[in-house]
Amino acid sequence: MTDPRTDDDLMLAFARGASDAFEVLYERYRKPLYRYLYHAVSDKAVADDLYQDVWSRIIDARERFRRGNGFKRWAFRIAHNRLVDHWRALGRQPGLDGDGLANLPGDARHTPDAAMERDQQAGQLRAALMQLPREQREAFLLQQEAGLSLADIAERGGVGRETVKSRLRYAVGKLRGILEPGPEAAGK
Amino acid sequence: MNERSHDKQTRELQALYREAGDVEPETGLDRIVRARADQASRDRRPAGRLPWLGGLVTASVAIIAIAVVLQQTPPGKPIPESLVPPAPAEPEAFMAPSMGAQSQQEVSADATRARSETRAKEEDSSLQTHRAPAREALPEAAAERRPRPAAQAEAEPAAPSTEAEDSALERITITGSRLGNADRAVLKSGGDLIETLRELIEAERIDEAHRLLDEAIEHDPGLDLPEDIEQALGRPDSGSP
Repeated sequence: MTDPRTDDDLMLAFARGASDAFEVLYERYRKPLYRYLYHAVSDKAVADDLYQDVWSRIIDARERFRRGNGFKRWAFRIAHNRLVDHWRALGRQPGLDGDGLANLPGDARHTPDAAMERDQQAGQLRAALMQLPREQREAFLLQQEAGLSLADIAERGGVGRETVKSRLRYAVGKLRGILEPGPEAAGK
Repeated sequence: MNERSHDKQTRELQALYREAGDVEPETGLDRIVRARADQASRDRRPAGRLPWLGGLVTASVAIIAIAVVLQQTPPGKPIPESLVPPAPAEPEAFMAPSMGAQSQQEVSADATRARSETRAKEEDSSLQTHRAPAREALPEAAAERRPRPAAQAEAEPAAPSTEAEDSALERITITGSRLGNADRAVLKSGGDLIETLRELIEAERIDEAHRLLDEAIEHDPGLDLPEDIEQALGRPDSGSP
């Protein structure tokens, strides 16, 4: 049965020491946060590290959380900041260098055809995402995973709303261009 | 038109992303995060409880301590002085339990009055003005000087003013006896006086009989005395017994 409490209520309950509230909250956000990080870096090991670190930051900052914050926006802001730190540490603009495809699950080649096709599509998508400039990829992922509005994404990136709209338009166009020729073309 | 086309492309891409981009963290990763959250919750709990628990423990200890002290005090005995505010020792506390409440109040009021008047008498040598109250105080003062039952004396708290009160009451008694003699000299006449004089003569208290006679003659110069008394004491104006 779905817990009727809002994300904010759950987070506040967790801040008061209710570990069951965290359990509900974690179930709601484990996939969106992981997908956001994974598609942003396209590296499973790095995504795992970042994911663990983001949740640690959420747990540590639980007593600073306020009802008006909005848990979803708050959590994705933490994840975004962690990504920015990661890229700064990397010292370069991440791009497609083959690692994204190399980090596909090891058993992908041994799955049945349907599963194989799905894995190929997933790999193709990750490759296409990694070809996008970082700002465009960030805007796309925040819209898809966090469901943030243009204004929220703009505020996060410190840019105007129209800039974000433009970035999203370019991102979608490029992804379509990469993905439309077929899986093979995207992989090459 | 362009806008519609873009929206359509976006929706298709989203569908592809949902389908192809569905990944989730491994179970091991979930376990690590959950363990960390549990640990954080456990670390917080004692700190949150402590203030409430401390207050409860303090209040409980205080209540138990008071209950133990009250339990150890027998019903007949007074509560220890440390738990009772200090009160001045009243003379009625020394009264016999058989006395009624009203008589106790009267005696108490008389005793208080007598003490204050005695102090005034010490300053003023005029005995006549305070004769009646002092006489009333006498039996009460004597009652106060009577030895008390041991149990009652044990139960009474030690009053620092007892010695001072005793000496004051002694002075009242002495003064009262003097007043009694004077009264007798003034009031006794006729048969009473003669009887008293005869008793004094029989008791060979000649000096006292002389004093009484002198006072009676001073009060009533035409006093007639029987012959036997005149012989025993002699006429005051004659100067010989």
